[in-house]
Amino acid sequence: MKSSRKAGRRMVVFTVLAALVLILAATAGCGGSSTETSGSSDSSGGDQPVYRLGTVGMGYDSLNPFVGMYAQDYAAWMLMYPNLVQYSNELQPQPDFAESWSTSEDGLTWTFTLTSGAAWTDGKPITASDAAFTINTVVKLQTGAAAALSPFVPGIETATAVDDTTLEVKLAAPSAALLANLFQLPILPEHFWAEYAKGDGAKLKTVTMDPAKETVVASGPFTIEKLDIKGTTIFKRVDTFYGPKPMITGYGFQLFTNADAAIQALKAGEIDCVYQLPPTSSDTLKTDANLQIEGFGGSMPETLLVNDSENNKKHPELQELGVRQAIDLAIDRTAMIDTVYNGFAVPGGSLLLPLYVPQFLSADVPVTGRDVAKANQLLDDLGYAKGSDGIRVADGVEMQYTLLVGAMNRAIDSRIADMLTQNLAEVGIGVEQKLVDNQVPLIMTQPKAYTDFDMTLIMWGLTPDPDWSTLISTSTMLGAYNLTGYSNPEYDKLWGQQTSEMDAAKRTAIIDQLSAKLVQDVVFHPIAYTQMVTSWNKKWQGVPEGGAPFGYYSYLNKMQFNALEVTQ
Amino acid sequence: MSKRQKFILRRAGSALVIAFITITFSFVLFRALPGDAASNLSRVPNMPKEAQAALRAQFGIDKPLTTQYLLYLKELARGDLGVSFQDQQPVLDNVLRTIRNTVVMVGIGTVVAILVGTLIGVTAAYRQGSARDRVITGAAMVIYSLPVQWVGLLLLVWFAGWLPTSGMSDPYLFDAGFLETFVDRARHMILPATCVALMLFGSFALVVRSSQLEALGDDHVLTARAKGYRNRRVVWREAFRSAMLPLVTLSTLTLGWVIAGTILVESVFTWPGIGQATVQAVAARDYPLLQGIFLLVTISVVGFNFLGDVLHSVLDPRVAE
Repeated sequence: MKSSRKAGRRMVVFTVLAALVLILAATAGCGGSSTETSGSSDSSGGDQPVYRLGTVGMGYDSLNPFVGMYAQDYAAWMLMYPNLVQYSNELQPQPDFAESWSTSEDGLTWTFTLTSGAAWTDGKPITASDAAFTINTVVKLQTGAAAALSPFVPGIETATAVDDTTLEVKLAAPSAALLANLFQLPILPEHFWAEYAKGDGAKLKTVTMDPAKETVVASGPFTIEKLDIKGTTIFKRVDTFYGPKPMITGYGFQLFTNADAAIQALKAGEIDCVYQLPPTSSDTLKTDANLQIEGFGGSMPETLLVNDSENNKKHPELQELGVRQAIDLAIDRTAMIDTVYNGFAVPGGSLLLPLYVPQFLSADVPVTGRDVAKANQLLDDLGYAKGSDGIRVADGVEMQYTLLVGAMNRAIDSRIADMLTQNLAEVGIGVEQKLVDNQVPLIMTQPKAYTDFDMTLIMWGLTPDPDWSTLISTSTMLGAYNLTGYSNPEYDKLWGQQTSEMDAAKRTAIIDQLSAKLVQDVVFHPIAYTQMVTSWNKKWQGVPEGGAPFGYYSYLNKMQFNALEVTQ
Repeated sequence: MSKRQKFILRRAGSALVIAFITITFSFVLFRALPGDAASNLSRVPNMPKEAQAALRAQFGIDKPLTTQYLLYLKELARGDLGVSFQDQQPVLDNVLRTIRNTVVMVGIGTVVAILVGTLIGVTAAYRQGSARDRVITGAAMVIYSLPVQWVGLLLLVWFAGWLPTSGMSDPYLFDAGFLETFVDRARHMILPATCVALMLFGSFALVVRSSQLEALGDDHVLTARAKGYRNRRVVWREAFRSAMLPLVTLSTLTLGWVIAGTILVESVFTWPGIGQATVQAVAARDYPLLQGIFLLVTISVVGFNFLGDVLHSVLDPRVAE
């Protein structure tokens, strides 16, 4: 076998050489990346190191504000561009680029007084013209190139720069939710974007936001240093930022496609913090003395929706209030939270966030407790007796329902669906699960809307104002985000009143009525307000433990990294 | 025109037809699914219906399917793969950037798999029936049958802390020289490339073993032995040369498929390659990018099959007859 050994050695040498050539090819042109952030990796003179943040599953899609649509993109822009206002963790509007604001008596004109002396990263001043340019561009191109930003300018007719520090925004109708809508719109530098916005604005989407290819003009507290959407994007601190400055000299945002890899990287000290971890990972992380683990947020209710539309001809009994009440009573929310979310969720009673209390609601909505006997009684009273297979029969048709389970959040939703199937079996309701790519289009875009499903699970992403959470159940949203088919003229009228009611107390009274209607009619079956499982190295202090309602790295405000520092 | 030239022309023709059919099939396939790129934008609360319609118009998905198909073929003929719905950058740039990352990692893994597999296969055949043969063949079969993502996760858990477990470089390695960058890249490459090598080497070992066994019994090999040639010459020059045919076929087929078949490896190790791009494009319903990737995978599979045919006809002229 001597010959074989020699040949083997030759092959090993060849393999090593081939590998070296390939790695050299991969290294070519990549060597010696020099960055300004680099020098500040050591903490000296009060500067803190670059904060290395990781996420699992979904990163950025694009950091061009006219292209990107993921929540992470908005968080990045919040930390790069001026916004008129921002929101505190208590969901109160706070000054950002606008120091103060006022509304005319008719509610149609908003006047913002802006920060003076602020500058873009290229040294040019940030003025009211930039704000007016951004708003007017989005309004003008909202059904075209700026469609992705259109949700933030509803009802705005025009914006005018009265002088460098005064901005006037004119509305078609009074809007109580204006700040909550407008706050997410990043104000962009007119001198950079104006040439792209010409004509139909198609060129707006061609901006890469890659500092290696073109200048990125931002205001801070951070700006892009190195763009790598599918890997790690690095941001550096902007020292000319007009607001309170963070101590960290930059942060990195790293995408992991596998939670185990993220956990290992965190344990090995390759990154400082990971959010969006699966709840089941908490047991592993709790055993590591160097790591802290918390559930952040709670603004994303996991909800069971029942198709009670008139178009659901196969199961008209779902329009019966008693059936929906029975379904609600059968759900074992506590067991779901314990087993599926590993405790990282709180039971949900409504689509209106508990956080809205007291500013938008006078009291929180109670959670429906599990009561199987009562659920069975309700269905018995309706005359829907159980058949030989234990499934009830309503008007000659078995109460066997199709439940859509989306692939996007499958790890969680499939388990919730299994538990729901068991819960509903106890009250004589059969469930057939159907795994779909994304359940929303099935309901929204099918020509025969509300015909092909009976129930679906969905996780809503809510906003700091209840305007949107209540809008989705109005008739105007039928065929769009009104996924249950609920239609109630009285509700629609109340919604119209709250959106234009500028008196806070009066608005709260109307939202209370809307909330009562949603509960009374059992429009939604909220299961749990889910939390974002986040873990970080304890050497970092200043992570807002439990105090970030929209999760870690959210689009709520620019203050989220300000207290971060290494203390060990 | 020689028989071989005719053979190659025939094969090239059928390769083109297969490529065309696959392009058409992939176009129809993605659009047969419910929903589209604009309906997937539900993450943005409050998106008005008009804005969704505008996005559909911009993406061109409001047009009839036949019009979309003809436009697609026209642009394709001009070498334009379109613009990705996700980042609005040219598909070709996206595909080339990710494919480069995949080729390097998969290339190393495949080369290692071919060499190790060949060596193991030849050794096992030479020692047919021995304990060594049974152990080697058994181990190759076991590893070959393990799910690749599971092997990847084991590697990740075992070697975390020793070797980097995600990405293809340390993003925080600032001001590094060429050597430091090179070492960093090489370290990042080890786990995913090993995973690819483990995924592939078993099939090479088994194929080489069986063809080498057959070759070792051939008349010309027996003659070589009778002539008293040394073992090395008998095993490698006489037997292995004729045993190489299935290895060439398998290598070309594997090279064609590895581009598509690394989705799981790339997902485990967060490798920014074509596999990861495919997963993200599916989630975002990014038709142009998916079509671009499918086109590339098709070309690679069909191209490497064609290359395998040509090499086969060179190594064994009887194939062309």
